[in-house]
Amino acid sequence: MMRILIVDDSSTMRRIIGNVVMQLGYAKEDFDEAEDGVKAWKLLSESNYDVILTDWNMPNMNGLDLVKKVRAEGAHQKTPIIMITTEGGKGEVITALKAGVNNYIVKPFNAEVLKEKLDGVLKK
Amino acid sequence: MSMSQEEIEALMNGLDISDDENESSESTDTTVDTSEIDELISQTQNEEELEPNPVLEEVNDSVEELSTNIEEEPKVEEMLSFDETETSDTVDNDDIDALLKDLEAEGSSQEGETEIFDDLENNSLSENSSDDFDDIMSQIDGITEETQSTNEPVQVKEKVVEEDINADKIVKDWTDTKINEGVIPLPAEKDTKVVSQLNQVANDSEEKVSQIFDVLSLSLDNNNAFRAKVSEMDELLVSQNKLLMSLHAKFPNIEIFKSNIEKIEEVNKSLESMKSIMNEEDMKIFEAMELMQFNDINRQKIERVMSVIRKLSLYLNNLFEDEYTDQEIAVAKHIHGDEGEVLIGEDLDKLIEEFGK
Repeated sequence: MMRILIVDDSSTMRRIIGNVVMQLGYAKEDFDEAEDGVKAWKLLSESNYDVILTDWNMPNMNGLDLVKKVRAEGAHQKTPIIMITTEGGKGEVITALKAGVNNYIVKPFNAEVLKEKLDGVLKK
Repeated sequence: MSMSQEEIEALMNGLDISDDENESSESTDTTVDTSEIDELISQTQNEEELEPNPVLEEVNDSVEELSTNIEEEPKVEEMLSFDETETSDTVDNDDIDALLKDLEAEGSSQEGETEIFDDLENNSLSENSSDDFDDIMSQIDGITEETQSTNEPVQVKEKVVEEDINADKIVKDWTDTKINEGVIPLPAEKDTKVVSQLNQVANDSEEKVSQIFDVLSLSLDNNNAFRAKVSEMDELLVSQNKLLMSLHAKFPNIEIFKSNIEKIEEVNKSLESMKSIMNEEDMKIFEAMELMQFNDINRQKIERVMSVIRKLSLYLNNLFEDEYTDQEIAVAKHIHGDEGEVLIGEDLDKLIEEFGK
């Protein structure tokens, strides 16, 4: 069973991403949610996930710091990470990719885009 | 500001007509009596010397007796002047308007208006006034005394409250005008603090979007439930269709098997149509959910503005920060070059000379 971790400070965004994920055929039980990097890191320490979908701008620990931490330590150093964020600048995308993000989605997005990107990172 | 007796009568008549038909007969009597007195008062006001009133001649003997008594001019004048001041002090248009508005607002117009009516009747000397002019005069005295002793404190209090309200309104109007003209800024209150308001908007919006999301989710769940029911019906129809097909194969001459098979096909088409409608609805709901991402995008834009304002506030605080903790410096009110009167040169010398004289 595929496990997905959704990290976003907006509860609405978490629900939207969750719905999109369900549209792709995943069940509600297949994903967990965290509202910031700190809580996400806690969940990552407790469970195993096959893919991480994270926002950038969040309180406590932002998405970029989370990516760096995941890539640097713990059991998910090889886990695919897709950043879903409003940060659409070229500089930000490069920064995120350098930090270890596998793919990047700029909000707003639709189910097709997420499916494409998910398929892309899971195939590798 | 003061209300004349005629105006009071008019108001009383208005109240009678609109509110209580039973009182109308009383008020008619009252009006006649009051008008007589008014006429007397107005004549006394207009003429220096009080002369017997022709209207009063038609009244009874006691009225005539009294009319001779009131030849003492100073007393009558004193009485009238006192009555006038009392009237202007106690009842005016604004007071009555305010009272009526209050009464309307309280929804107890019937009782309230009756009270006003009674008050006005007392003030206009209308009760029990047709028989004897002594009674009328005593009532006038009684009224003024009563007004002084009982009504005045309440009415003065109401007037003070009303004046306060008027003053507040004037201040508010002036402030609004100046704010709109850009002369003075909006007060730094909870509702006008920019960052606080933006934060509230972002949070409220998030909350409402979440509620909308609940509604959309419910629609999706309902559609899924319908889909499950449709699948159950589908299964039943497939089995029924198989049965009818086999029966029709065995008994091709029995028409009912054939017609039922056709009906099942029609029902199948309807079910397919329902499925397609539900799928379309699901797609629209998903679209709506995707559009709700703009709430998050807009929230982040608001947060960006908030961040700019916070930094600007910090910068301005730093810019205007006073390193010295001295007391407030006294500043000159009129300096050379200012618009307005600045006393210099000959004017100044003249003024000094005048003071020296």
